Amino acid sequence: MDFALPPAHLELQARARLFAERVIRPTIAALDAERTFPAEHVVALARDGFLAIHWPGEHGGAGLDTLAYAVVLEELARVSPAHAILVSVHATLVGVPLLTFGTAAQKAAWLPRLARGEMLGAFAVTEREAGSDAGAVRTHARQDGEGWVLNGEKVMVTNGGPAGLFLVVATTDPAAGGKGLAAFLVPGAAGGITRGERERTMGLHPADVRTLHFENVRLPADALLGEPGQGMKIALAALNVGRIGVAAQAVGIAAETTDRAVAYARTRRQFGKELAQFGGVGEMLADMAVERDIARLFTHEAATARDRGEDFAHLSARAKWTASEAAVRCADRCIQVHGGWGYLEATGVERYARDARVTTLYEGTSEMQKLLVARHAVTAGV
Amino acid sequence: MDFRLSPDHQQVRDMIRDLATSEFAPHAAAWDHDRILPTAALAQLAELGFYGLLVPEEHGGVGYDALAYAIALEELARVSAALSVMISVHNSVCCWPLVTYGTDEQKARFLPLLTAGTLGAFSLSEPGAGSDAASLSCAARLDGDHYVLNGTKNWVTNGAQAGVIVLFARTDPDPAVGPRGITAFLVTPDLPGFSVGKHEDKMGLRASDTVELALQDCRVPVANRLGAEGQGFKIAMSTLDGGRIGIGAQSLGIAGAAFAEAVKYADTRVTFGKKLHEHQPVAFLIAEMERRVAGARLLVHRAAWKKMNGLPHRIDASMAKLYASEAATFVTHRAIQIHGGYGYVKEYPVERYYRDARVTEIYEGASEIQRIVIARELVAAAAAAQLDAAPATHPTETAS
Repeated sequence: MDFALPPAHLELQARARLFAERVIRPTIAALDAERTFPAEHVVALARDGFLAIHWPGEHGGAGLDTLAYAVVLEELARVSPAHAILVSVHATLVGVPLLTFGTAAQKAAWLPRLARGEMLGAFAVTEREAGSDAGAVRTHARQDGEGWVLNGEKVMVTNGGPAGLFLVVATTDPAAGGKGLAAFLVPGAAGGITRGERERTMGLHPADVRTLHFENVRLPADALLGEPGQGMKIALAALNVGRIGVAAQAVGIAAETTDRAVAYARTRRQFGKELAQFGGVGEMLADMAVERDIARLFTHEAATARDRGEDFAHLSARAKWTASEAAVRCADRCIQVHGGWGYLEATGVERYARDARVTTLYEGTSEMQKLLVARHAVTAGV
Repeated sequence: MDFRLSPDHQQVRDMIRDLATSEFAPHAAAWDHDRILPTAALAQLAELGFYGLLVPEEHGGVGYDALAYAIALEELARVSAALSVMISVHNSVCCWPLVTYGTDEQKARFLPLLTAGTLGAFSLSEPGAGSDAASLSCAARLDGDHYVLNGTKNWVTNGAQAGVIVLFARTDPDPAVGPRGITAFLVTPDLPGFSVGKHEDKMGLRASDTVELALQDCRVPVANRLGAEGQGFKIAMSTLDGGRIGIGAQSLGIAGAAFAEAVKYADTRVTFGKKLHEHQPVAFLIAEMERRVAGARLLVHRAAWKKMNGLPHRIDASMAKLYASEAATFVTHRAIQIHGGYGYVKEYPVERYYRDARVTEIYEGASEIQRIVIARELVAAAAAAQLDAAPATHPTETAS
């Protein structure tokens, strides 16, 4: 048993924190206010090895483990949750399926360029009528000689505008439902792709989220990732790891807002004493810290289980569910501790509440995570 | 980083789980129902070394580390929370302060007795002083080579059976000195003026005996003073810091047992043509219970791990005690809900778990006290961090 982060991870944590403070912090208020996608930060993230943390070195990655990945995402999210999701979608939702199911040629074609930040990856599964129920996907891939022709629409695609590579899940056999899905590697520049306007999201303003239209998009045979019928399996494998990233992102929000609330409560004076001296405020701070700690413990538990090669799907579901709820609550309580000042953009804490809100929704809602956790408890025994 | 138990600790867990399941589980319901003190089980535990879990081997103990100790209390509590609390009080809040603050003479006099099978107790609370322990009023007046104690103490677990009681009284009657006027004593039941009062009829933990103690001109030799005069409050607080991990572990055991019963029931009971857990609200309840048990386990193990590695752990111990106790009341409450009417009758053990769990949020520092400790530690850590960091870590953002 060892509850401490290894020295290498502590070093990485310090490096990621410095990057977030020096590169992102000075710009985040403006990026948020103007909904600017931080294109120049993508290059900086790649240069520091943060775009492909948990990919093997042979594919251009930093060659680190899932725990390192979680540590970096938490640090990025403390300053900008939008940067954390940009990395998570790119490195995990696109990177992990490529690493796990890609042929040598597919990996060589895409991974080094993705790792260098020459292009971003985006994950296109969700449709208007297929959210949690991914088996209801209607985007269709028709075999055409050696290749494929793609038609349909994907919504809420993070990195949708800038992405140079889309991982698209489509049906090759509509009658087969979830068993008829396949995953495709679709170049961002392919003819027949139209990008919609950027969505005006509640939070994560710097993130680029769009609808994509595919109209007779012609794909070569080697665009198929894995086999026809494996689409659901590939998407779920990506999301199992993706949830560790979202959990780490949420831990970053919970940690930052807890720290800010404590810092404010110990200096702000009312009725002749510091806010933290009031029992009601102290209770808020204590509950925030407990939620943050449990969220981080669950996240690190899931990451280390994956690194040891154990089953971790229920652990990443539990971590994602718990951390996302902790982020929402801590961000909200942080505003409460700040009083009216917390409601002003200039104070810089209301952004975390807006950013936190989506974490209980994307990459599997809390409700889906609860079903996974419950199913595992019943089948695995307690 | 690895949150799993080491093979050695797994072995401790398996050994105690086997013992508790085979020897104690068949009797736990009857002990509770008839308020039977489980003397045979206690004797068996003493025989196996459970009376010296935190006592070094040189003094006749088995010297468990903090994690093995937490595992022992959790495993006993899965079967009988009452048995667990008797062992917890004996080790955490009687033997531990004696080992830590006792003189060589005191250790030589009392530890062989305690490790051999005489229960120990801890007596801080009074009818008028609970969470606000510094306001206790039991008086200790020095008279030659004795202190003369007068007052009433209550909520004393093991108080009627104890051969040694770590008891706190006020040596300085001036209320202005507050906590600095408190001194710890090793009180034995043979002392003149010591008597056991009312035996409480409790909601839960009914197999453990909780009593009131009366001290009427009770003459305690100066040689039985634990630590220095005025050091009592510090001894009490540091003792409770350690005890909190134990109560966290006890809470974890109760919660784990209730969760296992709930899952078992939800997987067998069929309503409206499907198993209970196939109804979404029940599945969601199971998920919520699962994560609270898992969270409690990680917090308890983290606190124990820090303690056994000599790391600061006050905030961790308070978090473990707070979260695990609230998890225990939540999980046992919902376990009854999942059992429906069957959860409300004694045919199933979950109503006992619920009654036993309730006190874990109260004793050895109520939840409200734990939150105060946690908030205070957070503020102190933030103050220390700011002294370390030259420029502010988080400059104020300004929207442009």
